[in-house]
Amino acid sequence: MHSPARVVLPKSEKNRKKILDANPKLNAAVTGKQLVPVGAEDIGVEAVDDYTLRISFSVPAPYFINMMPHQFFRALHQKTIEKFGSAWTDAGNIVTSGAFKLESWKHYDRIVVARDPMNWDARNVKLDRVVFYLLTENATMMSLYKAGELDATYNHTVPSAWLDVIGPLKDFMDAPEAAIDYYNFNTSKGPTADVRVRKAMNMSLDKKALANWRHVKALTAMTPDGIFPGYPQPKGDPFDPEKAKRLLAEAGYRDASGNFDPKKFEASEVELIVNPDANNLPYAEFIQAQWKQNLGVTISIRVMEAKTLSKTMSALEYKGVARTGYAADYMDPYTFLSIFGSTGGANNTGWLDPKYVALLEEANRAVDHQKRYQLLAQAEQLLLDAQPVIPLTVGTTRSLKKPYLKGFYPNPAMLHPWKYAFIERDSSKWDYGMPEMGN
Amino acid sequence: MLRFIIRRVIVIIPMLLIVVSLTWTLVRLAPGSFYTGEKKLAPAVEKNLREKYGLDKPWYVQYGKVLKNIARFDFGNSLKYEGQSVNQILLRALPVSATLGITAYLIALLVGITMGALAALKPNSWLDYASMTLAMLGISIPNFVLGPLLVLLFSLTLFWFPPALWNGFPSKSLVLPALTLSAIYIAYIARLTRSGMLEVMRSDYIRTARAKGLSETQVVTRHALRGGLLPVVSFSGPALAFLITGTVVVERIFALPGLGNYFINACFNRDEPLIIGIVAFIAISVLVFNLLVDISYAFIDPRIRY
Repeated sequence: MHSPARVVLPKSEKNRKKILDANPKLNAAVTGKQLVPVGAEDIGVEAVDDYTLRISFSVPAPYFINMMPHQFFRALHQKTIEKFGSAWTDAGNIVTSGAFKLESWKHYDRIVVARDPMNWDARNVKLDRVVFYLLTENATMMSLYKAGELDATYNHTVPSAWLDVIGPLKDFMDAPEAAIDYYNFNTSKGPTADVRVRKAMNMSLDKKALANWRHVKALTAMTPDGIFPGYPQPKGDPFDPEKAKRLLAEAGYRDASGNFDPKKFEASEVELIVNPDANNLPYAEFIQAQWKQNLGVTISIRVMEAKTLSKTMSALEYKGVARTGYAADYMDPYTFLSIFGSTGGANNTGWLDPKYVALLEEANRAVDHQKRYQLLAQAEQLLLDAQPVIPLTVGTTRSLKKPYLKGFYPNPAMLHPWKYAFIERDSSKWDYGMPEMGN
Repeated sequence: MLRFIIRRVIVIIPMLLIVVSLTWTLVRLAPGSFYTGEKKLAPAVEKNLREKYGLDKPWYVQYGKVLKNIARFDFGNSLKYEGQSVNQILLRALPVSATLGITAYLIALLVGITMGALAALKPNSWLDYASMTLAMLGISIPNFVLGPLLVLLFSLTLFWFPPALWNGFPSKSLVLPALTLSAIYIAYIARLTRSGMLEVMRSDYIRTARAKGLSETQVVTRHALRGGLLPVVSFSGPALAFLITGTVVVERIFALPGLGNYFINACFNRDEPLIIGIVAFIAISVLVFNLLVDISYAFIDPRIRY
């Protein structure tokens, strides 16, 4: 009964506003100038008996059940944390409840977990030990995989430039992922403060071409489509360079006859900032070329180290456009839509619409699932109309797995239940190609 | 000699102060902080964090704390790895870097001196040209190119050595990173040995040695090499310091948990105590190794007196 009280202050922001309104003490803790100690009873969490945890809500929060697999909700052993302080996560100290226990953890080297014989289901856990290598370079991972030192790699490890070679291999696992790449607009200043400019910059991008080139799926809305069944997802604006030019002409960038004039556009007031990790730079160059080709406008690219970019974005100090991305914390459209429900957190656009916030709140009060989805979709439409972002692509897993590793599937949340994974010695049962769930 | 050593040890202090102060200033000038993430923190949380780590105090108090820590060789706790002291991290990462560095150093000395000496003994022969071409290649090919090339050949084509990972000493996985790391040092040492030897071979005392009737082997090993290696010694002292204190590129390509890997990540994480700890450690190592080199001159070259 230790974890919820530990995590609630920094992280439960998903619907904390509603919970906070009902609780002045907690409200003071989060919104106030100082931190106030908060106990489990203040946040509606109680241990009914040794095996039952009750969490009470002030709103229905139907997505909550999907949040439970998140690591915030792991049960922790209170006495261990009190005893070891910040060293409670070290091997030998940490107490876990999963199928595997931590055997050793060497930074920048490896984490070794071993089957926990005390686990309730230990008999059905097939692997004795799993070694996670802590690697940063994708090319190194590919070499290790090819040399047979690794049985599988995690998501996004196949570099884009290698996809043409690795894509056709039977080891290649490529399934959609609940993770998106998008660009933020600075809506607080410069040409991008004008919604017409933002819409034009979005509409003038051929995202399908980008997606085909990068072997991913195009994203036109704020939520990835096909991952949330039954969600009536709005589609967002299609690729339409002519309409983009008309919008820019309307926004004042026009010649005497009223047509869009690229020379009038203050291209120097807009730049595209990306951090150099992964494939961000090739993406940016593609998009720069699209704007050049479809609008005749040259937007310069600036590469910024990740922390510097984070700071520039959150202070809204960037000119125009900045790269970001988001991976779902739980399987619900709200995980993406909640980004723009406040100005804090990951909303680095300066855009906040009370109507949007009200729609999200209403959706989370709705008990009927379909009604809730409709309200969320309305909110998403409102977001897309205001275009504080350029949705780009939906991530795909892009990982590798040896044919003999079974019980291991690509999945949208990137969480692997290791207890079901095993090594198949009989080569007639090996996977050749991406395994279907349930086989 | 003793006075010389004492003088040099005293010089280490202001040098270290300059290095640490510059590093500290640069870290402070870098945008963002160890707690900067993709999501903004609530102001109250940020304030609490700043108080906890003493970042709310005036700069001279914080700077003073850094200096005090260094004076005691205790660099404080890492900001990123909660609960771990910088000293613990140094102790854990140094053996990895040192093992790799010393292996590379020994390879470099052995191969470099042999190549250089052979080239100098038969100047303008095919041996000379081959050695110097290899040396030129070693200097020109950066290690981030050489590393993957060696991996391609020895790990992915011949399957002789693993392409990465740390498996202690001795192990097959040490071979490729050590070779990659040593390449440029082999090249430098070969060229320095060759030019040093060529000069010595023409000097009077070698002619004297020959006139005394010594065999050519004795001339080379007892007289020529000793004098010809002086430039190598002055190069290899600081080289050893850099080699054992971690090399960012090689450790990253081969995924080795050494100081270089910690250092680059500490910079990305803005982990100030760890950055300063590693920089101070490298600075001390370089200064000490330079001192050792200067002392060793006295033993190698009888003309040098302090």
